[in-house]
Order: sequence, then structure tokens, then C-alpha cells
Amino acid sequence: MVFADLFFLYFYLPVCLMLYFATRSIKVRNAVLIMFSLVFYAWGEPIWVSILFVSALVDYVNGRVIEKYPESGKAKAAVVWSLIFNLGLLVGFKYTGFIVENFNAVTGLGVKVPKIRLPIGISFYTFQTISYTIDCYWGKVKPQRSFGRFLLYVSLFPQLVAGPIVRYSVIGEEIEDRKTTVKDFSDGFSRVILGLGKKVIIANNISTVVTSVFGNAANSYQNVGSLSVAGTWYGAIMVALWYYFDFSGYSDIAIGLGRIFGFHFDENFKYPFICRTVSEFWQRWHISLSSFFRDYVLYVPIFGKRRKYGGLFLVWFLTGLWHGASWNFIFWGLYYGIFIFAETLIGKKKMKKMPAVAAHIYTKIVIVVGFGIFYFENLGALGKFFKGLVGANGNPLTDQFTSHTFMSNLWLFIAAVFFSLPVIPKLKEKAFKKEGTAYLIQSAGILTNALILVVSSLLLVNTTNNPFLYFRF
Amino acid sequence: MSNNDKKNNNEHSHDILDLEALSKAYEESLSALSFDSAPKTKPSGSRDLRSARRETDRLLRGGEELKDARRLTEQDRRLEQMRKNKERLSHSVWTSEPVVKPRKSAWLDNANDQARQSGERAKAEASALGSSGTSEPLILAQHGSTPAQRQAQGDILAPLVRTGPEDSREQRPDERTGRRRRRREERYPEQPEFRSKTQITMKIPDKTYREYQVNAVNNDDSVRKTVDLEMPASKMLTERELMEREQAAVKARQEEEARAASSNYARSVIDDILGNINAEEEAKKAALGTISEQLEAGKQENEEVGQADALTDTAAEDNVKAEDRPEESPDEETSQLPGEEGTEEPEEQAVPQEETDTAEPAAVSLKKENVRVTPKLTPESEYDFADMISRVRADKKKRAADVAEEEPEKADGSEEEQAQETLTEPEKTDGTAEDTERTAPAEEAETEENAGSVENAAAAHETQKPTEGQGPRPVHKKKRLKRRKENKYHEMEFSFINSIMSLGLLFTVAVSLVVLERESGFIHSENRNLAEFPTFSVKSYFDGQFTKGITEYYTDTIPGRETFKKFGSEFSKHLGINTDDMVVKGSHKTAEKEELDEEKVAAITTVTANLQPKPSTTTTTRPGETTTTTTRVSEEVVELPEILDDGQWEGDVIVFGKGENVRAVAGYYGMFEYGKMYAETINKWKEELPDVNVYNMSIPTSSAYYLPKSFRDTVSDQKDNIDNIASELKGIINVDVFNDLAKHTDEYIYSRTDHHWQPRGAYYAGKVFADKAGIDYPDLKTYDEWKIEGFLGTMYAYSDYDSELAANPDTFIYYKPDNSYSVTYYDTDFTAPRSGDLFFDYAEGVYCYSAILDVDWEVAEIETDVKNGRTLVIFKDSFGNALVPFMTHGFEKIYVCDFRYFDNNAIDFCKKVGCTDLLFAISVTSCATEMHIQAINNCRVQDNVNPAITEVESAEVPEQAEYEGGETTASVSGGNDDL
Repeated sequence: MVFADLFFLYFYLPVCLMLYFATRSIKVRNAVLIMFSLVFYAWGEPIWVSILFVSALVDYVNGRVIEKYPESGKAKAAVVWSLIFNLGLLVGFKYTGFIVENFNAVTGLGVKVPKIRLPIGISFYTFQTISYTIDCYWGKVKPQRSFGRFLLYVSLFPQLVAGPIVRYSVIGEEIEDRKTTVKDFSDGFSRVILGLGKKVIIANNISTVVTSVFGNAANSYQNVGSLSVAGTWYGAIMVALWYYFDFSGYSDIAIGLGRIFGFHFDENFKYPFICRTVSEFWQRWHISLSSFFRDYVLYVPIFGKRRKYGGLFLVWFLTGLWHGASWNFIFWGLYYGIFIFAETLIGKKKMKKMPAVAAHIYTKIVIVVGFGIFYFENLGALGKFFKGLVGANGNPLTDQFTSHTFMSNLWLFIAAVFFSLPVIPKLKEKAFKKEGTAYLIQSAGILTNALILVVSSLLLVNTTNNPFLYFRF
Repeated sequence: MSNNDKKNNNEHSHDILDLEALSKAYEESLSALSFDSAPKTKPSGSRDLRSARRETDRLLRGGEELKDARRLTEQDRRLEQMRKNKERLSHSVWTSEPVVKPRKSAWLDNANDQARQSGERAKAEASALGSSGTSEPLILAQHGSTPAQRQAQGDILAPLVRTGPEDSREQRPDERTGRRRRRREERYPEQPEFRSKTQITMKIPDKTYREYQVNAVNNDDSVRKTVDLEMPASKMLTERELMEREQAAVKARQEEEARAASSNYARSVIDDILGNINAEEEAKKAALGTISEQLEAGKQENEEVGQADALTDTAAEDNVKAEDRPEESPDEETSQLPGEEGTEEPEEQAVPQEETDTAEPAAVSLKKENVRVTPKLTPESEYDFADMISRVRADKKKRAADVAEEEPEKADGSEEEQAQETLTEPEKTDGTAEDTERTAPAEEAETEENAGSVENAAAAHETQKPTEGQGPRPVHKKKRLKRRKENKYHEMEFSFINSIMSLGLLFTVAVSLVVLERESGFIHSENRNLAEFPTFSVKSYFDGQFTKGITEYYTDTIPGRETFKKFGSEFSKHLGINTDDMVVKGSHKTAEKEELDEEKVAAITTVTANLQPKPSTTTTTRPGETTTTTTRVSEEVVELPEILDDGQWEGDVIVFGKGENVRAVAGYYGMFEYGKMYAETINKWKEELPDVNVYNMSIPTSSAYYLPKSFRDTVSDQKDNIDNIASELKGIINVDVFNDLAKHTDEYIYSRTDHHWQPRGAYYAGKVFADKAGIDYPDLKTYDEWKIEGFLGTMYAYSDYDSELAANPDTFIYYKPDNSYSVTYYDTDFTAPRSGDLFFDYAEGVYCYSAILDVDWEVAEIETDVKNGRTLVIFKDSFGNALVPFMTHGFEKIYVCDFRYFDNNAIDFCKKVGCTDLLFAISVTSCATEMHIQAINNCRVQDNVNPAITEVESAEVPEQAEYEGGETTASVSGGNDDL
């Protein structure tokens, strides 16, 4: 099941809310959540919901072991086993094909590449359970005694499929004891609607533009070679905006849903495009992932103290690899790793001295090109993309197609850029200084929520419409 | 005297255990307190806290401060750490939550400063061991007005106290004797203020970063820690009372000095002690009491004023009793505290104790002063121990019982008071806060203190509210806390409205989607049936198909779906500005430019038809037997999908034009290499049918003639591709219709909303063929014209339901020949004959084009009244259908086969039916699509016996000995018609 779907919004969610708020008892509420989360996951993965269950079980046991034998060899073994199991699952499902392909490429053997379908969300919940076990070992959290509650943590449906990687320390207490106030409810719903609008109204439409400009994996990015320079840049900017709105929209929905149920997740995106340095970009983009890698990989002295930057590149390699089983993702990770490495070499102070305009231009270029790398899973197309960026593909600076596409998506482009900047929070902040404007902005907020919800729902009716799929002649 | 006093105080302090216990309790409370300082004053905060505490210790215990100092350091460390954590983890404004910074209210700050001062004074008065009688407490009140001491007391009395810049001003000079003042200045040098005005965090467990994050991120009132600092109403009374008390204190001091002169020293000492004890008693009572109770207590005190006066005479008695009782009551208090409130909240209890500390004496004094203008202030007269203790016990019971009831009233009361104060106080506070300290105009100061005390009372009340999730009482308090803050902008109300709106929308739509009848059936615009509710089976569940089917069903069959779809289409139109009146959908593609080999084209040898062809000989083989000509090399049959369209759809779909001229076209991206492949494929057919006239008609699509100029560079040239094919043909007659059609582009030769041509266009193309084939081709006028209106074809869907198209649908105009003929339909393996008609007049909607010959997966046999011995076999895709009616005057027999759905061997078939002319009437897009070319090849090489195409998975199909109406590959897809 996906969030941006009418079935989820208007059937699953109301039923879940009704059952959840029917009682005040935390136990009943937790049980309702577990049930609905498992149904949610089993909706898309009727078989592999067992993997979720097993992973939760394994790490629950590990947590208990660590609780019982703290600071001992057994605890270490528990951590190691958790790592092996979870990473093994992840690698097995996600990277086997990739590994075999590369093996074939390197050795020339024609081993059959297995086509394994990746269970949704496995990248997220394996990381979550790993973080739990390691946190238990480090004593940061108190291991959860009840398997039900731990299963709730792992399978909590707002953050299960695409949500932020929520650490146990964040919601551990709230699992045991939480409440939803009217403000929670209202803010949660506002957040959900915001995320829905981001995804349906902006991200989906931008993706159409991107597919039209670049092509997609299905048609091998057919058009990238014949784009004008402006068209290539425009496409790359749209890709960046697309991923931002898609991803942050989902995170917003996840955080909002969590809020409705009384959980307070950490922010996952904090207006990444206002960054001044690439390091700052990564402090604002997909915070839960970068902090996961920072906390559990970077500061673990794998390489010892001498190789100061080895950990950095390992982290970026893994970050890229986590996003997908393809070489372009690894390049993307290392690309950012290089920039961050450069910035740490230059030093924070000097980076701060960079004039604002230059800093912004620098970061935007890096980000946009980076997302171009992220988009093209086909290395040949990626090469054409790079050529197109600089005009080495022999195409003009701009052409009719580019200008037509740009003009016919002008409002979308402006809206996307506008809402990627923290304009609304600033506006709210200013408005709350005076009474009249505070009332105004709050009423406007309510109306906007209603509008976004209605428009998104109407646009979602089209999801089953795919003429290219259905047409026969 | 002060030295002696101090010594005596110290001695007495050692004796009075309860005082120490009380201090301990205060320390406990302090350990749980921290101050959410305003950033600029943070750094000095801890220092002040520490020093303040040190002062307190000195005041209370003299030499025992070291122990406390150590504890203080630890507390300070913890507080520092917490403060640092909070700072570190606090988020900037770049969050999606609006950062509503706590508003600094002038009245709160200033008035509370004032209130605190007076409160401190009162507290100092109450808690400090004074020298003589009532004067000592008053002197210590002046201690409290030293910045250091103010902070000291403020520290203890943290919840009640707000500090501000005004506080760091000097003491009240007129209330002090010079000597004491100097002493005080030596011992307690001035220190800067530190405290934050707005918030106090209580009960911070030394846990994880989680709570700070919550604090910082959500800026949420529901977080367990931040508590708005307001003063309880008792404080209000306290302030007022304190002011009056100060007046009284002045007088009392004079009296005391008189008394001191009379060297009634011991008595004054005892009075001091009593005063302290009483103060503590009051504090404890206040801890457990409520504002209303304090008011009640005030009332009671009014009554008891008289009693107190009476008691004054029996001072000695009371003192003795007082000495006893304080020993009990603090223990009672402290022992009861944990049990009463739970382990988490002793600090809160201690804090309210503080409140009542100030509140009670103030209330008492005020009440007394209300009764008498210049009250005679003696400790005994102020405190009635018996009454206080009983009241304390009653308070406890009452409070436990009436939590919910009292608090709303309290809150409202305090809020109202505050609101009133807010409105009235700002100017006063600003002006008078400073003055009060220096000049102490009684009335102003009094009102100041009143205002401050309101807040103080409220603050104390607030601070009684513990962190969240601790039980009904805390919950209520927290809610009220939130409400108080948010009521400024009615945030609560707006939140409520927002929730109601969201829930309302959600549930309304949810219920209506469950209740309302769903759409079903065939959707013309999408050329398919709407989804149906899937049937459950274990397999379908574990496939994921069941759940996916439910989701699809839910969205697919939404009532009013077509209307909503149009909304989506309109919405996407307004994503930008359409400068050139074009709407482009689909994935843009720019075709590679290819140069036609002119020489090759020029070298095309024209093949002419044999006008007297003899049907090719066929060996009469029964189906199922292999042909005797085993020289045919069995070529591989290529696996193909079941359903093929009219060529690969790719590239842009462009809608342009307005009104009746609106047209949707799809770009053509054919490449020469595929054309060559196609030519070679049908060359092989010619090789196997050497006696047959083989014709090739590659039919252009509408974008060849109707395409906006700006796109002409991005698509391939159809004429060039046709020429390219022609140059590769061997022995096949090329029927080039491109130029002929170009002459008639202003006529209705192509549909605007469909990718097919109109029969009129087919007529013109057929004319060219007729010329090449040498057959009769009557004029269009001889045909019977039929029309079907409201034809919205395939391009309507491809254009994403463009509203302009929808408003201007096509009319399908077809022509019925005037000669007689009979039509027999067979299955694709040429079995199961059935008679039918050439035209299907009831075709409608998206299927209008199938008015001719209906579906593609059949073989049609037409026998006409033209007896010229020529048999035409047409291998076509859907474009060829429109040609067929125009052939009835030229051939005796016509066989229409769709190469995509043909199951026999085509060569054998041709021979079998006695084909004299073989026409390939295929669109250029199919000619350029590899899968279609392979399908054409398959038709030639596949065996008769079994279909070449079953499912995609099956590879070569094994031979069957018998072929008796076996499986057909007729891709039956429900009731879907195919074009």
C-alpha cells in the first residue's frame, strides 16, 4: 500500500483512526497499530511480511540478550549477529543481482543473474533494527521487554515503507506512553496534507516533465542525447525538485501520521536547498539516513585513527549504495563524498567566509548535477547527460522543445522552487507577532489544507489511468 | 546586633531541624529545576544560580553551606549540561513547524520582577533567621532586595520569581539601616540577573536527547517540560500584602528598635524564629493549597486576625507550641509529599510550599491590614498554628479530591486576572517598576505587587503543574498550560477547527465511497473495462494480485470517475503557459536524421502486376500434414507478445489547433534499418510465391501531413522511409500513396482524435493500388456514405483526455460499396466459418473505426460479384481495414488477414485460397517496429498445424499430429474489442 493512494486515504486510514481512538488504553491502541501496520505491509508483500516479522524477532532477542549480559562477549555477539542477519537480508534481496552482474563483468563468466524482487521497505526496517541493537549495546536505550511493543516500533506503518529511519531512542518512550492532543491531531493532519500535496500535486507532475525531457529507464532515456544544453540543465533541476518533493512529501506524511498517533518523529528534511555548503546540504537532506551513517559507521573506528578520511569515503560509498543497486548510485555517493572531503579540508571557517551568492551557486550546481547522476541508471545515458550539460553533444543552447516544455510547466516550476524554500515558516513566524495576522494565517492555513486535500484526491483518481498500458489496436 | 543575631540564628538554626529539612526539600526541588534562560542571559545563569544558592545556604544554615555547595555544583553541572544540550539540539527556524517564540510580555516581566522582589522580600522575611522580632525579617527582606539575595531567594523561590534587569537595581534604601546595608553589600555583592522570564523547565530527567529534540523541534507545549511561568493568585495577594507589610515593617522596625532598646532581645529572637517557622508553615500550606483556598485562607485569616490579636497576648505560649509544631509539620509535609504526589513531584510540592510561604504571610498580613490600617505586626498575631495545620491537612485532602474541578476555575480565574493585568499593567509596570524600588510609593508599589502577585500566583499555580503523562492532574494542568499560551491567538481553537475539517473531509469521502454505487463496465476513453472486485483465493492473495486488485478496484470505479479525470487533465493544462497552442504529452524523442540513398531510390525497378495471374498451385494438404516440399528450411518463429498494437508508441503526442480543427498526432520515429528489415521480410514472401503479384503499401500516419512546424525536425521523415523500403524491395510492387494523399490533405482523410485514417483517405490510397493492380475502382460517389458521430478515438486518451478534443470529436464517415458480396468470417486458424457483414453500423465511441470489419483477430473472406478470377489476400494491420470496402469492385475474392493474429502458415494459406494478388497494407509505424516485422515473418514460417503464438512464455510450439479445432491464439481479452 502506498500513501498517495485513494484506498489508503479514504478507507484504510479512517478505519485505523476509528479503531485507534476508540479507546484510551495504550495497550489497545498499540495492538490496533500493530495489526494495521502488518496489514499495511502485507498488502504489498503478502509473503515477505514474514521477513519483517523475523527481523523484528531477531533483534528483539538480541536486545534482550544485551540487556541480560551487558558489556559482555554475548552482547557483542548479539550485535554481530544482528548486523549479519539484517545486512545479509538486505544484501540478499537488494544487491544479489548487482553483485552477480559485476561478477560476470569482471570474470567473464555467464552466471545467471537472479531476478529477485525487492520487498518494499526492507532498506528501512533493517537499518532500524540494526540501530536498535547497536543502541542497546551502547547503552543508549533500554532494551524493550515486550515483543509486541518492539514489533510496533519496527512495523509502525507511517515510517515503515519510505519513512524516516526512526531510531528507537526517539519513540521508545512514546511506545509505552503517549497521548494525542487536539494540537497533535491538527498538526498531524496538516502535515499529512502537506506531504500529500507535495507528492501528488507537485512531484507527480514534475515527474511527467522529467520523463518527457529525459525519458526514463523503460525507454533507455531515449531523449537525453538530443536535448539542448538548456534542456539538460532544466531537466536536471526538475529531477532535483522531483526527488525533493517526492521524498519529503512521503516523509511529511509519515511524520504527520506519527503525530496523529502521538509519536514525534524527527525531521527528515529541513529545506535542503537553502544550504550554503554541501555538508550543510547533507545535514538537511534525508537527515535520518545521514545521521544513521554518521553515528553507526563514521564514528566507528574501522580504519583506526590514522586514516582519518577513510571512514568518510566508506560512509559515502554506503550512502550511495543504499539508494540502489547500480553503479550510478555509488558514483553519486562518492561524488558527494569528494565534495564533503574537499570542504572539510578547506575548513568550516573558510567555507563560511565564502560570499553567500557564490556559496549558493556552488551548492546548487553540485546538487543539480548530483541528482542528474542519481537519475540515470544507465551509464551510457549518464555520459550523454554530462555531454549535454556542457554542450558537448553538438546540440544548441536551447531549442523549441525546451522552451515549449519550460513555458508549459512554468507555474509548476515556480511553485516547486518557491515551496522548496522555507517561505511558509517564515511567513507564519512573522504573522504570529500580531494578533490579526495570526488569525489570518491560521484561517488561511485551514482553507489551504482543505484545498490541497481536495485537489490531491481529485488528481489521485487518475492513478489507474494508463492509456499506454491499456490500449490495443 | 546583626552579628549577634546571626550567631543566634545559627544556633537556632541548628536546633530547628525542620528548617533544615525544609531547606533540603528546597534543594531537592531545585535539583529538578532548571531555567530556560533567554540566550543572552544564559551564560551568567549558572553562576548566579550557584551564588544564589550559596547565599541561601548562608542565610539558612550558616556553616553548612559547603555541603550544599557541593550539591549545588552537581546540580549546576547538570543544569549546565541540560542547557547546553538544549542549545545544541535546538533547531533553527528552518523547520516546518512555525517557530512561535514565547512572547516576552512586558507586564509579565516587569511586574513579575516587581513581584519577585516583593516576594523575595517576603520570603527572606519568612525564611531568614532574623535578628529581632519582626524587624529582622524585614531586614532580610531587604537582604532580598540585594541583587545577590534577591537571586538567592529567587533561586529558592524559583517558580514564583521572575528576574529582570530592574531587579538588579539596588535595594530599597529607605528600608534599611545603614549598617546593615553596608554589611549586606559586603557579604552579598551585586550580581547580574540571569533568569529567563518565560519558561521554567521542570523535572528534567537526565535522559536522552530525545526530549530536547522534541522541545526544540516541535516547540510544543505538550512536551513534558516547559511550563509557563506565571504567578499564582496567591502571589498577587502576596504582593499587595507585601507592600503593605513593608509599610508595616517600617513601623514594626521602629517598634522593634524601641523594643531592642528595651532589650527584649530574647523575645525578639524567639519572635524571629517563630516568624521563620510560621513562614515555613505557610509555605507548606501553600504548597498544598490552591489559590481559592488561599483566598479562603485569607478570608479565614481575616476572621482570625482578631484571634491572632488575641493570641499575641499569649505569645510565649504560642512560641512554645510553634517550636513544637514546626518539628512535626515539616516532617508531615515532607513525608506526605512523596506519598501524595508520587515520587516525581516532590519538587513541585516544595515549590508550592514556597508559594504559600510568601502567599500565606502576605495574605495574612494583607487581610490584617485590610482590617486595620496599621496593623501591629507580630509573628504570633500573623500565624495561628493550629488553624494553619488543620487547614493544611484539609487542603491536602481537598486537593486530592478536587483536582479537576478546582483547576479549571483556578486557571480561568488566573487567566482572567492575568488578562486584565496584561491590559492594564504594561504602562504601570514599566514606569513604576523602577520607581518602586527607589521611592516605594506605597500605592503604586502595591498595585504593582498586586499585578505581580497575580502573575506570581498564577506562576506558582502553573508550576504546580507537573510534566506530562503523570496522571489526570498533570494532564489537566498541561492542557491548561497550553491553552493559556495558545489562547493568545486562539491556536487551540484553530487547531480544533483544522482537525474537524480534516476529519470531516476524510470521513465524508470515506463513507460516501463505501456507500455510493461504483462505476463499472466499459470505458470508451480508455478502451477497457473498469476493474472489478477481485476474487479471493489463496494463490491470488500470495501473488499480491488480490490486494493490488482491491486497490485498483477502489480507485478505478470511483463514482463520477470521468469527471474527475477531466479535472486532472484540466489541471495539468494550467501548470504553465501554452504559448504556441500546443499540448505535448508523452516522452519526447528526437529522431535521428537519416539521409536517403538517392541513388538507390533512383535505381528502383518498377515491377508491374501480372494482370492475368494464375493462382499458384497448391498441394492439397490436409491440415496436420506437413507439406511435401521439405526444402523449406524451418526458420525460427520469434516469440511475441499476445497483443500487438499498430507499431511502437513512443515520442510525443501533440495536440494542436482549436475548435473543429483541433488534432492530436503522434510523432513518427522510424529508422531506415527497420525499413530494410521489413523489405527483406516481405521479399522472402515474394520468393515463396513467385507467381503472385505482391504489393506493398506502407500507409503514412497523420503526422506526415499534420504536424506543427516546430516538431518537424524532431520526427523522422515518412516519405524517406517509404522510399527507403521501396529501394529494398525485390520483385514487389511498391504502392506509394504518400504523394497522392498529400494532394487531399484538406479533406477529411485522417481522424483528428484517432490515430487511424478515415475511409476517405483509404479511398485515395486504394486508387493508387488499383492503378498498380489494374482493377476497377469506381468513384467515391458511387458508394453509400454512412456516418457515426461522436467518435473520440485513441488519441484522446493518449493526449490525456484533452478537453479541446473532447469538445470536438470526430465523425467516422464510411462508404458502402454498391455491388453485392458475401462475407464469411473465420477464426485466425481459418476454421469455424460464419457469415457476417462487412460493416458494423452499431460501432460507437472509441470503436467507430471498427465499423469496418470489426475485430482484427479473424480472417475475413469476401466473395464479390466481380468474376475476374483474381483473389486478393491482404495482410494488414488495423489500417488495412479501411481499404477493404474499396476492393470489392476489383477482385472476385478477398481474404483479409491480420498478420498479428494469424495462426496458419501464410504461404500455404495463399496457395490454398488461390491467391493471385498479395497486398501488404501496413502502416509505416508497424513497418518500422521490429516486433511487427517479426510477426510478419512468423506468419510465413510458422507451421499450419499449430499456432505460432500462444503465450509469451511458451517458446517453440510443439507439433501436433492432429489439428482439429485446437487451441486458438485468438487473444480473447474479455469482451474487449480490438481495432
